[in-house]
Amino acid sequence: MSNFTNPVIVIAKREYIDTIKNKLFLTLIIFILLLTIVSITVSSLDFQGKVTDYKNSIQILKNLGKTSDTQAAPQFYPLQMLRGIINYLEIIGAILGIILGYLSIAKEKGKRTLQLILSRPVKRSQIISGKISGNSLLIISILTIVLLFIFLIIREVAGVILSFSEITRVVLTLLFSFIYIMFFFCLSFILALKMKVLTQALIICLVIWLVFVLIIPQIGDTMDPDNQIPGGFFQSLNINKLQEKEIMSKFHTYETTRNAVEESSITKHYERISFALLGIKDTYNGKNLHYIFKDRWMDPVWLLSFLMIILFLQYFVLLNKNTVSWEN
Amino acid sequence: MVSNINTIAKNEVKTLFKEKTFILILVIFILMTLLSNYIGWSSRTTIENVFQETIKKVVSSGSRQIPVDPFTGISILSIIKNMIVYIFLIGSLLAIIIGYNSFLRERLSGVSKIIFSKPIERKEFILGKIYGILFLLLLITITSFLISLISISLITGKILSLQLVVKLIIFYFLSLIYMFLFSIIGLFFSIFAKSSSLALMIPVIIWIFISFVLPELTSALNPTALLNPANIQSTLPHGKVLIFLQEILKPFSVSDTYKVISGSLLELDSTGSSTSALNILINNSAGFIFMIALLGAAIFGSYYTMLKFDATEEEIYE
Repeated sequence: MSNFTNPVIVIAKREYIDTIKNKLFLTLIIFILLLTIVSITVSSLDFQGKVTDYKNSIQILKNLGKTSDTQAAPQFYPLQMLRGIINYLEIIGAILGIILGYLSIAKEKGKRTLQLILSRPVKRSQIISGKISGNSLLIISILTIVLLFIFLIIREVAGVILSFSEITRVVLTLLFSFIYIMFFFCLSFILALKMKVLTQALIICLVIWLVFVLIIPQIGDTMDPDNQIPGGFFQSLNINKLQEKEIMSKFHTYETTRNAVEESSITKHYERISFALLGIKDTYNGKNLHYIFKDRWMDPVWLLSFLMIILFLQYFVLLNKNTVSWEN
Repeated sequence: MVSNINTIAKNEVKTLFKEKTFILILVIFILMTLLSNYIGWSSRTTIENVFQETIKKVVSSGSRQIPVDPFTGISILSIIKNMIVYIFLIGSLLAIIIGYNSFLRERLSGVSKIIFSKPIERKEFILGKIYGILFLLLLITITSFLISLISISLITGKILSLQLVVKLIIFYFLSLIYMFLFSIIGLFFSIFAKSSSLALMIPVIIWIFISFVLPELTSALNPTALLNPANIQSTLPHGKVLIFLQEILKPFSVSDTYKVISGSLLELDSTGSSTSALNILINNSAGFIFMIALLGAAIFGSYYTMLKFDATEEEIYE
């Protein structure tokens, strides 16, 4: 069978073309790109403000005849400006995945074409593979546009051209973004396929999104003793990292519970590996990729595990006749 | 006219109770209130113990400077501080779903075509829907208020003072207004949008804009930092441009207004106890007035769109 008649490629191609014509999809893409601009611009302005504040306070100290050794100058790391984008990809990237999965099934159910396709000599596994391939390509296209936007905006707003090493880190981060978005695509795909009322599938997806993306990470963050006070609880008491570790070792059960809450969310794993790669988390800033992956290997493994489980479920649902709801 | 509105409102409440979605929303709300109280109590107890450990550490190191407890003067109401984040995050999103479901249900089932052939005026219909939604949100809010009140009393072992109860009531009243605003936005798009997915996702995009984008512009805080209740009262950006943006946009940032007023009502900082509820509202009057104006505009928008709604429309698509 030549490539041109391979059902997987035909379905993937149709999936890609249909989706890029969809208004909702286009609205989301524009929104993500706008947020990329806003986020980098705000980070850049904030950094410039910090530098100005630093210079002013140094000047005041000099005028008072005091030394300025105690105050460290703000350091500029261009990739740290991407913190907001990672947060937005966590939130809106997941919604994008949900919308893609939903649209992929909704259009078939709306036009009752799924039964029609299945009446042809096309295997169910080929339908799923086609839909996954088409949407994967679409997500990769979107992330490539985001990458170009990041490169251009950092150059225009902060006046910095990213080095090869920095671009590699951004590309790796976007690769994990792809896995993360695909998880939500598969989740919404399964629910839309299984549930009789499509709108209810969308609502349930949003509730799951809320729990995984916002509630669980929020619980973990607010349970962190250091997050109880703006600027950090331990910093407010002049306690250094070593002393903090020593104190917190006495609250092992509490910390383990807090960590377990965070570990149960795919979003937290995505955030942890992304923050490490981009040097947003200070511990990993300036460290090479080997060090980062050696230290944070569990996060990519978790991300892949989440995706593998949901992919397996996706195939299982469509391959099993009885689990699919054909009606809209 | 009043009886028709009441009938529609009652029907709305009955239908939503029959639907699994509303029960799911109610359960989520009760769970999140309980969770908020538990997390508040658990993290407060732990942080007090961590502070005591820190004191021991400082004393054993021979330092004469004993740190001051950063939680001195923080009110007991702050136990439920997570509720602020849950309402601005979960409550508002669930409210969108209630509003969205309210009319889209009629459109998807084709009831909207039949209902306007009956002697029911459109304005009665939309007012009935709005009252129904408001009643349900009120029910959710009262349940949440009672759980919070009982939990705080149980945790502290004493009954809250009248002043604190009043602040708690006003906090929940403000939360009701906030959620009502989002439910009406959901209702508006369920009448206005041509597809069911657009009807849900446009309000969600607006919600993201209000909850994350505007606050980022006014505080330079990234989206996840905005979810930490500790950051509510301390959002000061750096640099002239951002400070200028903050001054201009702050009154229009509805979620900022909600969080700042709520933070003051729940006395999240040490000055909170000395400020009356009325003064808190007066101090944030510009933002509060804008929130009410936005709610008014959303109600008017839904009302006007319903009057113009084409009851003979073809089937709504996905």
